Amino acid sequence: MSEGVREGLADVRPERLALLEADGALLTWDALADGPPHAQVWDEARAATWLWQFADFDPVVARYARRAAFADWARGWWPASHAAGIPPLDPRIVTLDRAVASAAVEHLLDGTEALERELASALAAAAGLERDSPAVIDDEVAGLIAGVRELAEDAGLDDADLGPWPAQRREYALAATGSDEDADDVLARGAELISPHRLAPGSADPFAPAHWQLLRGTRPLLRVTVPRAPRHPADFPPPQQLLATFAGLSLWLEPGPAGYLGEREVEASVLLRQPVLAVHSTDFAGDEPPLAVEERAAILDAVRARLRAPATAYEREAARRGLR
Amino acid sequence: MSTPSQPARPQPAAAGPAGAGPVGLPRGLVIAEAWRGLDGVGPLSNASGLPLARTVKLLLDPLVLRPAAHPHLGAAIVTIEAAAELRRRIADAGPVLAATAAWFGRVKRARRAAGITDGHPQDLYFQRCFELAHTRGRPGADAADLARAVVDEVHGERRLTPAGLRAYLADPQVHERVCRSIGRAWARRPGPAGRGDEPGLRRLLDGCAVAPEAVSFNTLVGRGAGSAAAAAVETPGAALALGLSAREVIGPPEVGRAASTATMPPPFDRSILERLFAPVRALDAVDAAALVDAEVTRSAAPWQLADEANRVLLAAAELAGRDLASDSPAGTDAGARLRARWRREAFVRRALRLPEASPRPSDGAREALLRRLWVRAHGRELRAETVPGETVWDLLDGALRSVILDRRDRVKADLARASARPAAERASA
Repeated sequence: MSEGVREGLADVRPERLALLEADGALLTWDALADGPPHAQVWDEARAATWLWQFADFDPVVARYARRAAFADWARGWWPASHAAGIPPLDPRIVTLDRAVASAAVEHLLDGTEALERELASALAAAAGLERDSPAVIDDEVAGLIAGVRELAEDAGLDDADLGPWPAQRREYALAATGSDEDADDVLARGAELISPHRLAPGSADPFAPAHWQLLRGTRPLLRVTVPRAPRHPADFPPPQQLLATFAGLSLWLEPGPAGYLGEREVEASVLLRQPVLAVHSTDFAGDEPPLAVEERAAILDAVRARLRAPATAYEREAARRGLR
Repeated sequence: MSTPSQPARPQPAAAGPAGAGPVGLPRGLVIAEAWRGLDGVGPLSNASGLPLARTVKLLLDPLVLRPAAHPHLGAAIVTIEAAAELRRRIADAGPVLAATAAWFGRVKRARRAAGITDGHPQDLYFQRCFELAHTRGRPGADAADLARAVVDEVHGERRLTPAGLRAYLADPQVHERVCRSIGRAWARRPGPAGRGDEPGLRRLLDGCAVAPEAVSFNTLVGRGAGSAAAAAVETPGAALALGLSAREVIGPPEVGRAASTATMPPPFDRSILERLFAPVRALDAVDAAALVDAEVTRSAAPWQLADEANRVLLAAAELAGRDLASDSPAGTDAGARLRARWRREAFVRRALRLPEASPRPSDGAREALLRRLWVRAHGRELRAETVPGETVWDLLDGALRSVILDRRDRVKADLARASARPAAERASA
């Protein structure tokens, strides 16, 4: 197409694909690299009314479009990790930023209805921040809140009509960390890296391996543990269960304070089969191959670089707060 | 997904065969450049400095550029001459647009002071502000009074509220009268009318997205093709299959004593109160009795809609919607495009890291599409708006987009709920 926009979809794994649903085309970027968007056109006439803004390097439009797409990426894919020291983002600030950036390019969005829904969420996010986390509201966040309120007023949205920010606090039902076992009790053990695209957001730590152990017993006991991702208090609670498969067997993993744990009795012959562990959330079993070590390292490097030089209010807040 | 195609380029380009046709520019580029040259239009612009979607829809197109009257100003690629005219029209309108923006701020202030939160301010006030800008220029000393007058007029006491409508229908005498009225209207329901024209509907669906025009649509309206198609909806089980009713046999509506958007039945099963109580907020001053009487008449009409144009739209949607409910090759271009949007959602969900319980044809997409279109058609009728024939595709596509957004929101809510549900409950589920 041109240097300002390329044809098709950004050729990156789902873990780093940023998306904006524009009128007549899907715009995608590599979320963690600089570069122009890719446009997958599905209606030429509609896309033609705005696509020239990318071909012609309209810097304002390009910047806001990317910012909106990046916020969506951050909401779903930001790899918060105890293991790698990546703090979680405050989802309320991400929501505010997303709404402000999308409104700036509302002329090229796939309809304005989605924006109005976003503004409604952003109003709830603003109220949640003011009520629960006033210390987080610096000048930048205050500017986002003011921007959202003005946009919402123009769209006829009213705080009073909206529900609260929907995150719920919940205590874990089980102390599901498993106990340390004597080495003598362990018949076999192993670890596998997990693939974020197979897991619901906020569930497992993307940079910590899942572990399996086969413990001695009348019948051997298979134990699988998956470290959980750090969670921002304003975010949704992590999913209740994960599903693990090991050597052709399945078991549910229940969440606890440190991670997910599942156990089941197995035949000792299980080790004769290929002892490969895979973990996924219900309805997240993507068909892409597992995330390779080099790709994982590249994501980590890019996210750490962003935290060192934050470009958004939510990254700045997370960098200040750190993992605590 | 479709194969990506070339975008329009900003530099002059041949609009016709190479070297033979007129040189052209993207219309959007011309408008954007001209708009960015205006002062004082911030409230009508987004943060990118471009006109808001509603600025284009409510002000620029109908009142400044008027492509309906000047088709050469409406093409996606305009000639150099047309580009110059577009620039001139926008520049000439600059002072009025700046005054419109200033009036919009004043009217918003008056709305805020009056504690009004109903309706979409841009929809409600943009054109009134444009009128004020024309007649009064920029806001002056009497601006506060004039702005308040606009707000009073738009939201005046004569407007019927949902509560007012409920109170009106709760009056025993009114209730009794409306019951009788429903009985009479349904006893006199018209039989099959108009001429069925499925080939015509197919032609409409093949052309509406690629070459929008009003003639084929208006021909179908003139023939009563929407009413004719409604005959099939009246047969036992048909409205149920289309998601427009939960009953095997549709029947007259109740008057209704309560209504809630959270528990709204399918369109044909809604009481008179349920049909009216949400859209009544957006109506100009109306007489409750006249509104209810019209609704009773509408309920007994084909597709339970009063305007043949809306009936044709529903008939077309029913036909196009079949492609959502089937894996066989799409029957029409519009059906194929709707199906492509539906299938694109699976990719979008993966990109947003949402569960991939992907939308399948059996998920009731066609039924949801028809319900959404019916509600929108009904709203248009209440607001006395017509269906411009060239907007058929936008209406179909917009309704499906809305259905998809609803489902996406529901998936997000389910994800949060599933997270919060106690483990024991999940285990027994």
